[in-house]
Amino acid sequence: MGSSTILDIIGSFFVGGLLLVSCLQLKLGTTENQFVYNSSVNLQVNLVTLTTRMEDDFRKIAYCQNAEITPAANAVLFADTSTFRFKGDMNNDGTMDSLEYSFGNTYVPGNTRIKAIVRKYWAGSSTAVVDSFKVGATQMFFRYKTANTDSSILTTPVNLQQKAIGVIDLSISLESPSRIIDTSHSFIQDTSLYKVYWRQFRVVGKNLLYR
Amino acid sequence: MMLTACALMLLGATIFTVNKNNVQQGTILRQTEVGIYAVSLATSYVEKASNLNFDEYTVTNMISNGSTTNLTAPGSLGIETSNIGPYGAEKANVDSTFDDFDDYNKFTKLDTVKGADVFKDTIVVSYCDTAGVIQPSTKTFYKRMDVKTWGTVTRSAFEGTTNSTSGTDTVKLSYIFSYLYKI
Repeated sequence: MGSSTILDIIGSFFVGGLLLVSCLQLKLGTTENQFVYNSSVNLQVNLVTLTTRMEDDFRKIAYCQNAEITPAANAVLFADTSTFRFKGDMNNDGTMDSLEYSFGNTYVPGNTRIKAIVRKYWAGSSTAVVDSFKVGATQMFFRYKTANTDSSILTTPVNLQQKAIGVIDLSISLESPSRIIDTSHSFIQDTSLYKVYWRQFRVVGKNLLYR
Repeated sequence: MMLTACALMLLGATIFTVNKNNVQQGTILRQTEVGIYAVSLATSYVEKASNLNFDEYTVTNMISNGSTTNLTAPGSLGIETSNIGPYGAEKANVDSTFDDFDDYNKFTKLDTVKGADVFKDTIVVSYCDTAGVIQPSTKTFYKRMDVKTWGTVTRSAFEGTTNSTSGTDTVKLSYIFSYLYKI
């Protein structure tokens, strides 16, 4: 075997190695991107589903299919920054039910920022049915106002005797619980803190006005 | 030799396509995320407006005869500059001073969502019939609000993907607000 053949073999090993590394990097990059993108899609879908559900519930604050029924007290039972409990005819049977949304406990090992959103539902006077939405929520923040102005923000927990809540401002942030920590890929690093944020105003004034 | 060159070209093209697809996927996801913010903002305006009175007249009065005479004229929908409402003097584009639904007519605002975009919101309110068709010169007991929201930050990755300059789609929500009167 001549020296040129050996050189050819070494050269081909070198070029082949480079190609192999390129292929492996491509596969790694694709897998990582797929993971990040799937997390992102899941997060966006979760956010839309959650807000749709909450919107549906909040629309029924102080509502009752039987218009003759008036709650003995304010339809809002408790209101602070992380918990909101209210009365409403949730199942449209003519009796007032109670519902509570609260920012619950952590459920991701090693990540104390992510908590479950807990929905407690009391149909009439029955025991509570508890649903835990484990969708990566890092924030669920309620703010209560008498009107649309920022100057009308009420201190929490809201004094319910005043029956002053006219507008509820709800902010929700979701974050992907699984992250890729890879300092060699700046793109992946950027998206490792992937989060989505939803802010909306939920107006409850009308039903509360009549009840 | 030719075979090797072709193989290298094929590999290069594959890598290029895969990377391009990855970037496109990221762009689309970012666009949908911006869309979520835009929907959130547009919904906020609809919700806020729906909590106001139907008309300037019904802020302090009640219509009981089914007549639209006292309602605001179609050409005058918007803020009443001379009016001192429950939230102070009505100012253009300051919705905290509005006291009735049509004060949102010709409303324009830039809303900054940190880390996401600067959204432009425009609102038009007009009278409409029961089918939602706009009535430009007739007073009715239905008012239609059209909210448009779009991101204004120009991103090179978004350019060319849609018609607008910023590359994000315009979110358009319509809402019909009605007035029920006692006969």
